[in-house]
Amino acid sequence: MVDLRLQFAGIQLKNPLLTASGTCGYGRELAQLFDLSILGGICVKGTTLEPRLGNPPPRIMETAGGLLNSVGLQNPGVEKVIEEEMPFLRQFDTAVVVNIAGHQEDDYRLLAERLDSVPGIAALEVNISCPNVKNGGMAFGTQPATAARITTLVRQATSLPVIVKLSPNVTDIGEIAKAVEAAGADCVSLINTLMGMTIDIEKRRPFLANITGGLSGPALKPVALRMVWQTYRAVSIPIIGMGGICNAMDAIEFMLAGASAFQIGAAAFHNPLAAPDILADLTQWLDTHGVAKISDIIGEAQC
Amino acid sequence: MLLEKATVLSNKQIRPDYWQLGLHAPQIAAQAQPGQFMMVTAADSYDPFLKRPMGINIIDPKSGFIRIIYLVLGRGTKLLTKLRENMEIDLLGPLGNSWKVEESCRRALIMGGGSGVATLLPLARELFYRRVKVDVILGARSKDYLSCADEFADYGSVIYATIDGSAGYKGLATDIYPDDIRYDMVYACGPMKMMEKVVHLSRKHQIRCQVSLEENMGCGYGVCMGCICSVREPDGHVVYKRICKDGPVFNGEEVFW
Repeated sequence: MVDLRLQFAGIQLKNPLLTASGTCGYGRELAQLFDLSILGGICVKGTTLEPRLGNPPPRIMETAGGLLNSVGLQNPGVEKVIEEEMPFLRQFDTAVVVNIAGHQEDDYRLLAERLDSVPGIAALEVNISCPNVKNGGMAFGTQPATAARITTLVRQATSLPVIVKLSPNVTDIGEIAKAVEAAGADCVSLINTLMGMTIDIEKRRPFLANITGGLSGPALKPVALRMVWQTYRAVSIPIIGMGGICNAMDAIEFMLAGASAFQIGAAAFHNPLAAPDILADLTQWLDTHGVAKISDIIGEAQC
Repeated sequence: MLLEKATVLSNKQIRPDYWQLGLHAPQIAAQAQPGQFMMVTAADSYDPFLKRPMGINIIDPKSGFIRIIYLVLGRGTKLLTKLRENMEIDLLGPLGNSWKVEESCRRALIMGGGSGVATLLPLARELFYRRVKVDVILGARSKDYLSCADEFADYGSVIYATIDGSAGYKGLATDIYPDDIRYDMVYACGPMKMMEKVVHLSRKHQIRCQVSLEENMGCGYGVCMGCICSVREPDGHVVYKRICKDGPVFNGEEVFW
């Protein structure tokens, strides 16, 4: 049987599947449906220094082959996450990745310092790509210089592996990836949602109260895959790929394009058992194709 | 909460725009409480991508029967109309909290409007079997759109309000809210404007009320934070709560309209 274990950027995974931040909460709901210990990892909801209310409703609208969301990082704040969510997550044998988001640059430093010594964290995922917050978020991730500055702040504040989550809302994602690599990122994850919009033609008003939202789901997949491939050619640090992955074939595409691991997000809305289903199908495909180690297929697409 | 492959027993149009889907889903039927809902999809592709939240209209744990009544609005619900007897469908449920029935409750008012009426039927049944005297006011556009009226009559006294006056009172359900009866609890599900008015009327009469809210949902089980409503905490703070997980039933007083 194929060896699914992976080790990169100081992170050890039992398999390449992680659940994406913002699509699995802090794991409590999914734990009612399957054992979280089957996961390679779980990236928790974007966590800020202070509790955050998020954006007003409506926040969700389905679009062709996906959905737009404008949640806006609703979360209970880092202290509550440490007190209430981390003890729950520590019960499981899976890599817990804490996604951190700031309104201002220094928030990232403070979050990284605060989380550095919290037991049970495998890595930090630095969210410089949320399209739904007015201050911070994506604004940090669309300029190479600011992206690099935040990466440096986090890098200096923690000994945990640092994953920087990149925005697709840029002209050249490779340029941003290079900047965060040079600033000390151990890994990049991509892509966050693609900024979009939808209008109610009867009311002549956007469906989302926030006007714009982030597109996720299968509609996003070809764009995400292309960006993983571009990034793979631009940097030498490992990549965690995501964007519309709904089945094992999608996941294999991302790994062939250069991803060392992958995250599934909106797939869990379509099918709450997407994670166990994808893992079973992935194992079967790799076995059928005589792959001994999952790492053997990373970046193997012949371009 | 569990995923169950249910078998379609029947699927038929019952009124303009409204369909009724009967399912054999023994696991969910064994757990579901009045007021809970399920996420349902008839799509076997990624488009439409999301499941649709559906209130449960009949729960029969003995036979494993579940019934939902759905309003055909868009692509997702149009696909549901294609389901035929013996086809299989994935259900996620039961989801959310349920209507609260207190031991001390002796008399209750149920107010339903539009598609919100369906989810109130299991509540009426529950109240009936707990020996609560139930009054039901149902509101609809016209006679053709009145849901489950006969079935409610098995559990209590039912009066109607229709906008066009084709059945019962001509006007809104809230126009005939009984001013002179001291209910222990009012239960409401329907359009937001209606529920807001019910909360207002109940407050005026110092009667507590529960409302079941509706919103577009992403996941239906609490992970995406997509379907939120504003709720006033006891300390006066307004926070966002998830309709799918913290609701769909809320105390009328705590909802910030």
